[in-house]
Amino acid sequence: MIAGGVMRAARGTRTTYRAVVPVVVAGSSILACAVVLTDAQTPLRVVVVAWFTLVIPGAAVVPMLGLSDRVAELMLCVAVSLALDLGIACALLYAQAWSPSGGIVVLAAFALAGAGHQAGRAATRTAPDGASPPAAAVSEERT
Amino acid sequence: MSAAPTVAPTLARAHPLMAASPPARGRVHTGLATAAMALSLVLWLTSLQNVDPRAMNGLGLVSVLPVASFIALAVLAISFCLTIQRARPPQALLLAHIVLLVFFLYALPTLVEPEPRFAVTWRHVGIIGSIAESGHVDPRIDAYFNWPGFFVLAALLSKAAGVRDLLPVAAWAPVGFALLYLPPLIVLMRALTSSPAVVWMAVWVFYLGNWVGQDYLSPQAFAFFLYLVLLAIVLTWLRSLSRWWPPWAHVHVVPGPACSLGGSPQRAGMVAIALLVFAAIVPSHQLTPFAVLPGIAGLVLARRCSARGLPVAMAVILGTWISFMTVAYLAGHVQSIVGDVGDVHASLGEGVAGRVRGDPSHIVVTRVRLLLTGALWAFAVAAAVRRAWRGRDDVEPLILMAGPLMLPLVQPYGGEIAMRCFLFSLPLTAFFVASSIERPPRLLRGAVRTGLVLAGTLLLLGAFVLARYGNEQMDWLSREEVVAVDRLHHLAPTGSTLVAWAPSLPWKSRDYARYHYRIVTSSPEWARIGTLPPGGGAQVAALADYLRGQETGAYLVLTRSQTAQVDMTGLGPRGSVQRLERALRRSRGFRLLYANRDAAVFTLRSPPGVPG
Repeated sequence: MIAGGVMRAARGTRTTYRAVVPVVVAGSSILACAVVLTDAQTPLRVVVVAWFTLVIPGAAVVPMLGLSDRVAELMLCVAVSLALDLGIACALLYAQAWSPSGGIVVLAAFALAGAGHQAGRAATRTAPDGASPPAAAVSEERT
Repeated sequence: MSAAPTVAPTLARAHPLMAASPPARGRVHTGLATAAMALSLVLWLTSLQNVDPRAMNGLGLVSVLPVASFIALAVLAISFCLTIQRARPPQALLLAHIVLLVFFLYALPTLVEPEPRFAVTWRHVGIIGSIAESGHVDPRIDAYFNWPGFFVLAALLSKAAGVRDLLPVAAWAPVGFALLYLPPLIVLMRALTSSPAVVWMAVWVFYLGNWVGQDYLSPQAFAFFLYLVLLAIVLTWLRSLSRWWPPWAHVHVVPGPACSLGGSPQRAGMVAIALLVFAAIVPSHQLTPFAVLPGIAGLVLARRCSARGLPVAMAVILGTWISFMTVAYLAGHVQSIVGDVGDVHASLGEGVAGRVRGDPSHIVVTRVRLLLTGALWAFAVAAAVRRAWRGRDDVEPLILMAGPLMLPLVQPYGGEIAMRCFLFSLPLTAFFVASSIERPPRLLRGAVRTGLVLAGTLLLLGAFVLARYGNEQMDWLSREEVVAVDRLHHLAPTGSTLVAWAPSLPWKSRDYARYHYRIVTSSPEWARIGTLPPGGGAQVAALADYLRGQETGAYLVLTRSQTAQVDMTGLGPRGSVQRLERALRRSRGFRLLYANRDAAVFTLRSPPGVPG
């Protein structure tokens, strides 16, 4: 019984986490676009852009893998974010369309699309018709 | 429910680290460890208040650190070693120790030196600034512009964030990169062992062993993060479930930690991420892809990686980039690149034996580096043999540790290939070294084990500070040197040739494409200039000829760090740069344009093209 309760609590925490991630991704994307497009001259801009470019593009897709290890998820979020940032930056440069603010907008659009997809999946899963957790999330649990 | 009380004592007997400790004792331990960390931090910060880099001798920073700094390091090391020996060490506490260690070891120069260290850091800041402003790369300038991924990324980020001066960012880059490496290191170690103590000890050893210093603001530091992520992905999610051994090898192995293989979509996602990460490494750094490929191909050949097509896809990405995007560089360097392939003797001779020369204290530092590298490798091999004897299946980490050792077959990489090999193999080396704390022989258990771990840690700490910061006399850059280079930029018109005697100086951080840059000791003329008596009339005349030979007006800058570099590394006789400077000040052929206590700027009295 205790084990069942712990598992339900863990699943509840995971569900909350999965619901919060798309909101954070969308909010960070909009904020990053706002500070870059308005050319805000504030130290906060560095923090917002650093947070956005280091974590958010990855956070738009990595949670869909359903990992339960938060350190691994963080690692993948940062790696995917940096790889995507680099890909967009190089594409703009070699296409002779260099525009750092344009790059942020493209990344934000990507992140918003990922956040929308995640939110849709989370809504489907929390539907009251007894939807089960994703197979990948279960299989990833450590023994 | 009934299983729990029987399982816990069994685990505790099987593995002392799994045994539970009384909560009250645990709280006291945690309190003491927290107090020790706070004490070491206060000691560290106060001890660094009055460190004077000018007082350094040829042993580098270790020669000016006060005793209190070493006490701070020792307190942190003792606290970590006692914490990790606990039955169930709190993960957050171990993490805090590691973060503090990173801050102590990697922020040390930033806290005691007035400007970002390493001449090459300044050059990288200049390249990023140049790309951010111009929005294009000219692949004919140098190799950087043929593998510009990291610089383009940094240009986009700095512009978007509104950062105008990247030098403060560069000063903190080693700490930033070291912390960035932490998540992949933890994931990687967790894939190799189920013992939390070994995981944290391996991370600890990695940071203590990373004397190589390639974590400044550079493409290799960025690519190394992606390299660690790739290793973590392959070992955690793309491991082959079947432990295949050749039919003739009748082995009974102890299984490692469970593979975290998910469903098919998860696996496909991981393969896609692995390829994306590799695709980001390829345009960023020349060498890193060649360190990744042999290891992953080896895993596939040994049937230890379930993504069989991964090396082929990686090779295609790499081949495509080299074939289409680096043509401008390769066209002019084919001979030098192809000529070194397979010449292991040249690669290792240049990188190992070739470095043990120069000032006696520099030789000591170089020997400590070699000793530290050799000792860690030897310890790792011994630990791997012991694990194999006990039936541990370590095929994957052994392959990944050996993979980068193929690099000397490809390139000497300017004499740096040996230390790059060490860096690429360090995560796995650290794992094997750390694994020796697991199930030690009976004689070495309990307090003896704690003492040995502590002694090893203290030894590594001392060797790290000496090996990593042993060349600091030439790597640190004073404010006066920076002011002199600023003056040089004001004095020299656009298109001029700026000349330095040796590479160590804070230039190229701005106006990267506005000037031509030359270094006398790296030029073909050095073969003649370097043999002339330092500061003699013949050398001054030869230098004047060299400056006149430049296509545009030339300006010579001599600095303190160049002097230290020549003296320490044996580029010239000790004091030769000072003798040259005194001769130039007396010479009628040269005009002193600017001077302060650390630098001087000269030009020829007669304009180029007019006989002087």
